[in-house]
Amino acid sequence: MVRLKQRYILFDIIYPPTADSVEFSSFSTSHSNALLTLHQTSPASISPKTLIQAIRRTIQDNYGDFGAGTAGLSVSIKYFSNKTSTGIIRCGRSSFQTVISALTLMDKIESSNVLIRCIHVSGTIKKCEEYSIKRSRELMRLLSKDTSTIKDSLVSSLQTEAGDFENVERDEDIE
Amino acid sequence: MFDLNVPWPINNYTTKPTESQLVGLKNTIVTLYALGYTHIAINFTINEAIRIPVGSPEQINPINIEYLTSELVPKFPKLKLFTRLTLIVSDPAKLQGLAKIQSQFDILAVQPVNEKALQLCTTNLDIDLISFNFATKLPFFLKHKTIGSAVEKGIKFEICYSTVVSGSIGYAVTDNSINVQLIKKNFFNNVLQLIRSSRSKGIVISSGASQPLQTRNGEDILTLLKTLGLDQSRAKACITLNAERVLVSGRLRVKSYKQTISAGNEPEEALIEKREVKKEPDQKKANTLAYKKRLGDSSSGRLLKKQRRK
Repeated sequence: MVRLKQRYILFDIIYPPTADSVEFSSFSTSHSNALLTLHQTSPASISPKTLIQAIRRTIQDNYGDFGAGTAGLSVSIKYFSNKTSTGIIRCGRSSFQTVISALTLMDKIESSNVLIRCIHVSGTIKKCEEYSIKRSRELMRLLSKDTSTIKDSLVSSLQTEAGDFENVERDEDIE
Repeated sequence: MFDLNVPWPINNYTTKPTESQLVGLKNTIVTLYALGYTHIAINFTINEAIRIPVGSPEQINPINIEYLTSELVPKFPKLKLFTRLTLIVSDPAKLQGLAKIQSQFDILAVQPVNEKALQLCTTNLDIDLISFNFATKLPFFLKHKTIGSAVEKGIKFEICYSTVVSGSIGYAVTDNSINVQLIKKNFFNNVLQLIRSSRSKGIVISSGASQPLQTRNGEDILTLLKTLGLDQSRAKACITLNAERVLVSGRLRVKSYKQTISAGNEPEEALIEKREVKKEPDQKKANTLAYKKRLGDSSSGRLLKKQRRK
């Protein structure tokens, strides 16, 4: 009996400054300003449900009915944190490149202009979690060089992320 | 990672960029930096009809690179900025004084608009990069013979992804009659043509992002192009090695004798890292320009080229 193979895609949502945003002029003034703007927390309107709708719509737009059937229907969101704007997508192994391409081609979720970066692809969800925690630490280290007040909120939210993964729903076929 | 195309907001010599345009450019550069790009070239595109002030060398390059470097590099220590000129060419015979222009820019690129121009650019001109306008259907067929011989010579071909990823905002500047769907279709078709004719060799991927929203993670773009048939094993070089070669060959033009020999104790990387502080009008150098050779033309050059691959 051959096991059903999956791919887990770790992604994060990045918020680039637009011409009418408040950060427009201060964005390029320091490294931590840029990082804080790009990695800001996601609004409540972005949830696993709206994300998956957006992904399926992009696949439908770019890959048509064939893509939507083969790749789009196998996609599900396993984890998404609004605080860190990070999430994990599960999809079929044969179609993960299509899913990543669709993530690349997205530029808008609900009403916010975003770009989605795929950070890591793995066969098990555990490695994605570990990688995500590693990255959060790295980001914290970069930010702790700077002594601004806003960073505290972000750092604390990053610290909670390690605990957050307890809530990730497990797959039946993995256990 | 390398991104060889961040457009300079102005396309002529008469106007100066406004304050907000400069801030936008800086934002784009910083966003790219945050995504992992360290070597970024700012691209100045002009039509061949525009007269270049050949007489006064300091006016040839309108990009205020000193200002950008002084603003950004102290805050983002790994950032390296370069300048690039892209000429939109329909008749290469009209291009005069290329020798004088090329010493002012780090990279020299052309955008041929017809087959004859492409042919002449690949055989006659001393350039580093060829780019196409991917938003419209190419009016000619890319032949493997033409593209292959150019790649053999060391010229790279550019794929610029901003037109495909930017959605609605990217098209505010373009003609409204060309709709978004058509631009995407043309992009995919043209990329397929380029991949087929070049056999995945000598391709450079760059953003062409005029806004921060048009930038993407390099690996993700590679995945997108892999679904189009880009060779898996050659994909990674498109954003690292090939782009670096373009920079090296562009810098060698300024800093070496006949693009083959460069004296000094510095390692090869220093060629791209170090910016010349003062450019003295060297009479002797100007004379040798006419005999300039490309690396791959001579057997010794080919040896050098192979060594660089390590």
